Parts: sequence; C-alpha cells; structure tokens
Amino acid sequence: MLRTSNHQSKRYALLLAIIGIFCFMTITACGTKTVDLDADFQKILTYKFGDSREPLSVIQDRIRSSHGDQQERLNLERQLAQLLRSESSHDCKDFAFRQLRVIGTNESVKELSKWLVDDKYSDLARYALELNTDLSACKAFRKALGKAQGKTLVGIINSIGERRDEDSVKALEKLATGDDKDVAAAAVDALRKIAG
Amino acid sequence: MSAFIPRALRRIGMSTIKRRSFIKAVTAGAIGAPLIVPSTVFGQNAPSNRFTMGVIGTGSMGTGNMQNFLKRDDVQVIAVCDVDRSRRLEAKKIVEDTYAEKNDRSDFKGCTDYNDFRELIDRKDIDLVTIAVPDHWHSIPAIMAANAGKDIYAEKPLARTIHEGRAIVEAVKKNNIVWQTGSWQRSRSQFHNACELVRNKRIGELKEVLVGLPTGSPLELQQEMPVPDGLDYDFWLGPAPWAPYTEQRCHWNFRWILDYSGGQLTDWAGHHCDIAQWGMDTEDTGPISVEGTGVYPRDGLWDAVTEYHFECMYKNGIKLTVANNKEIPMGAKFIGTEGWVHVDRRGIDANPKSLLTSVIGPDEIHLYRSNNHYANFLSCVKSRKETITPVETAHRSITIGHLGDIAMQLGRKLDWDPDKEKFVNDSEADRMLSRSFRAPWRLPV
Repeated sequence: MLRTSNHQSKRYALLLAIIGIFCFMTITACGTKTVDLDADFQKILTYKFGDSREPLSVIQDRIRSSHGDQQERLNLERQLAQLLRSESSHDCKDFAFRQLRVIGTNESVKELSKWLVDDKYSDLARYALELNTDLSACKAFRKALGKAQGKTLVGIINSIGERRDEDSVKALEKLATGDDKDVAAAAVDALRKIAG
Repeated sequence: MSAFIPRALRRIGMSTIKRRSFIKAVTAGAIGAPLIVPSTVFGQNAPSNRFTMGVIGTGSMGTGNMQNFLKRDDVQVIAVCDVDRSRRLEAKKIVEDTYAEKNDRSDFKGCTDYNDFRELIDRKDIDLVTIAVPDHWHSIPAIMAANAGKDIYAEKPLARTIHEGRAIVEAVKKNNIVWQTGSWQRSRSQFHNACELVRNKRIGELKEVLVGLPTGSPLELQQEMPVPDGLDYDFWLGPAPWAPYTEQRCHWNFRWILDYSGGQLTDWAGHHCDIAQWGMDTEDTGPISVEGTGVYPRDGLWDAVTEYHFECMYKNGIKLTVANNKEIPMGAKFIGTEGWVHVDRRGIDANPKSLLTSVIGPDEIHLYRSNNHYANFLSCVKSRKETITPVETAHRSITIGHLGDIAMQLGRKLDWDPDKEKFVNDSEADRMLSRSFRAPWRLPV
C-alpha cells in the first residue's frame, strides 16, 4: 500500500514536472505570459475596418488612465500581446501593435519579434518595436536580419538605422555589399545613420 | 532653338547656386517635352533670370502655390508630380495653358508630369521645388530635395512628427539651401505690425498669449472602397501604416486622421502658433512644459483632435494657451502688463486703441518684413539670405502643435526640454516624437 502510494506520488510529481516544464516552455517561447482576455479585449477580437471603434476607444482609455500603475500596465501589455497570439482579425492585431508602440516593454518583445519576419505584419511589428528602448528589442531586430528578405528585410534594416544600433554594424556591412540593391541601399543608409 | 533657358545657366552673380546644367539635360533627353518657348515671350532678359521649378503635390494647396508662381516672370514651372493622375494632368494643363497664353502659342508643351517625386528631384535642370503633400509625406521629399540642392517652398506643418521636422531642419542646414514655409501670414502687414508692437513692449511686459484655431469635426464610419483609377494608393500611403482605401481618407481629408496629420490643430499651428512665437521672440526655442485636454472622436473614420485646450509654459514665465475657436477666438492675442494686441486674418485690434497708430521708431526693434511670401522666397533664392519663415522657425512653430497633441493623447502634463527636443524623464512620451515608416520608406540620410 505504502509502496503503491509512493509510486503514485512519484507519478504525480513527474506529471506535475512535465506540466511545469511545458508551461515554462510556453511562456519562454512566447516571451509574454499567456493570459485570459478580459471582456473589453474579447470584444475586439473580430474588429475590422468599418466596425465601430468604440470598443477600441475603451481600451485606449484604460491604457491612458493606467499611467503610473505598473501592475495594470503589465496586465494591459500582456493582453495586447495575447491578442497577437489569438485567432484575432488583422485589424485587431493592427490595433494591438499600435498600442504596444507606446506601452511595450521587454515583456512583449519576444511576441513582437515573431512578427518582425512575417511579411504581412512586419511593418506593424516594427511600428510597435522600433521605439522600444529595451536592449531585448535591439537583439530582436538583429536576429531578424538573418531571417527576412526583400522589402521586409529593408524595413528591419531601416528600423535598425533609426535605432542607431552600433552592434548591428558588422551585419549591415555585409548586407551593404550584397546583391539585393534595395537591401544594400538600406544598409548603407543605416550605417550612415549609426555613424552619425 | 529658341528655347527657354533656365536662369541657372547664367549664374548671374549667384555663385552659391548649384546645379545649372539645363543644356546637358536637354541634350541628354532628360526633358521629355518639347522646348518651344520663345525667349521673347518672357521679356527681354527673362530667360537668364528665370528659375526652373518642379511642383510636388498638385492638390488644392500645391496647385494654389503653383498658380502664384506661374504669375511670375522669374519662374518657369517645368514639372509637376502627384500620385493622383487626374490631379497632376490637370496641373500640367494649367501650366501649359498659362504659358501658351503668355506665349501666344496654343501648342505650347513644356511641363512633364510624374507619379514619383524622386524622378522630379533627380532632374538636374530643376532649381526649385514646391512641396504640398499630405503631412505624413513631408519629410522624405523635403530631405531628398534638399540633398539634391534644390531650394524649397514647402507647406506647413513642417512635418508629421518632431523627429521628422528636426531631420528636415538638419538637411536644409547641411545643404545650405533656401527654405520658405507656407506660413504666409508673416507676409501680411497686420501680423508683422502686431508682433512689432509686442516686441517693442507697447503692451508692457508680455505675460500671456492666447491662440485660437479652428474646431475639428468627426466623421461617421466609412466602408472600404475600390481605389479609383489613376490614384496610386500605395504610394499615397507611403510611409504611413497600410489602411483600407476609403474616399474620405485621402486628399484634403487626410488632415483629420492621426496617421497622416493632427487635425485642425496641426493644420493651423503653423499659422497662429507661428505668429505667437514671432511675437514672443521664441522662434528658435519652445515651451518647457505642456498640459491640456482634447476631444478625440471615439468612433468613425477621423480620429484627430476636434476640440482642444492646452497650455505651454515658457522658461521666461510667459504662458501660451492654445484652444479651438469655440473657446478662444481665431488668431493670436498678446496680453501684457499695459494692454493687449489681437491679430487674425481680418485685421488687428488693440487695447488701448492708440497702439494701432503707434509708430515704431528707427532705433526700435524692426522685424523682418515681406509683403509677398512667394516673392520673398524668390528674392532669397537670388540673395541666398534667409526667408521670412525659415525651416528652424517652422519646426519650432509646429512643435507647439505636436507637443499639445502628445500631451492631450497621453492625458498628462509633460515637461519638455526645447534644447534636446526630448521630454524630461518620460520615455513613453518620447516615443510619440517619431514613428516607424512602412517599408521600404525611410528618412533619407
């Protein structure tokens, strides 16, 4: 009986450990804690251009009034990031990116970095991330350099130039001598901006 | 060939003016249209005294500016550009009809139209450009044209963001070009006179300035529409985030959408806030704090502020209050310890009334005088002197509008460092000073 109980306890412990590792991996992979969307955020999941903007305005009000309240800011940032992970509409994601432009911290960088190399959303991800002063944002842009191509890559290079990221110089020098003329021109401009 | 030859070729004592290679451009075929304008049409000395001009943006403001330059004998418009084909062709027709009439040649052709402003700027035979495009497009062509050595007449507001405005200022200074902003009120006598009265302390010590600007309007929800034939909509959006096309987004109405402009506030700050700065003698600086409240439409297509009230404090203790005209009458009112002066487009008023006939003596402060904004620009192109609304002045004037907009959007008081052009210990507000550009667009270096 005791042996059985011990055996079961070990199995439970193992199960819990697996669940814990899974949760940890999920959070780490996403960078932002997975959260349940509250009612205000649920309302905008399917928002599309032409719909009433009132539900978006409600969230903007909450963001504005949360200045100085770190806990509420974190909650809002996580929910905005959750919108990006969710089966939300393009225009809902557009809204989330735009809000993260102002309140995004390192908390949402990993989520945003995934979208940097998505051709459809890269511009919006840059819109959110370009002004984020956290070092993790610099790393996200640098990492994206090696994953994007064409116009998406040009945009990422442009953002790096605007951020005056000196640690990207080597990578930019390489791109500046590449075959893609648009990419090379962007890299040259970025290098000139970094050089001041 | 009895062709029009740009003044550029003759140099006429303007050693600092660059890019004078009209013949080269002609022989290289860079100008597509036939050059059949007899020099006699423009007066005895006109060909050697004429600047070549390209017009970027041919909407209502761009066409209006163009028509003013078309009246002048010292300018020849040879190119127009707009992403809306019907607009640029209409502008081209106005140009060619005007010169045909002046020329008494109904078959006059001599104006090339472009969809892409970069092709116009690339033309070495163009001396001057006018820029009157939506605000979100101001910085890129301005910097590229400055880098190409063109002298520029550009519409206000200077730029969509403070960061872009500063980039334009740097480009203009770096390239030593002549810049005139379309803040033409400076070239009207009543504004000049009002500011001179204030500067010469006719109202005593200046304490407060009230600026009234138009009230905005909301617009109901709009649905996506097919892009009209002839409008290069992707180019129209340019560096702004992608958005579905709907008629009320574009052309004149871009002003009421935050992605492209800042509503009546930033549309007019380049006028009456500019006059306030002139009177306050703060043209190369700005306030140290700003706070206020505004009404931003919660629904519908247009989202820029419609009703607003914000206060700016300056280092010297002067308070500037900016509000829509439901609260403060249009114009700028300077209030001093011994009276006040109010000025708007209808005229000037003062208390005491005797101020209205007060003469500024020879040893007093005399402000830059211009009685024609276009002529002032061309005069400065010739003399290489600064215009009445140079780029730094324009930047500082619209900065007031941008600061008010940012403070109202964030809903809190902000401290501003006018030297560093950053908010004080507020990185969140600093993010509102610039925007990421949609690829492939970027601020030119």
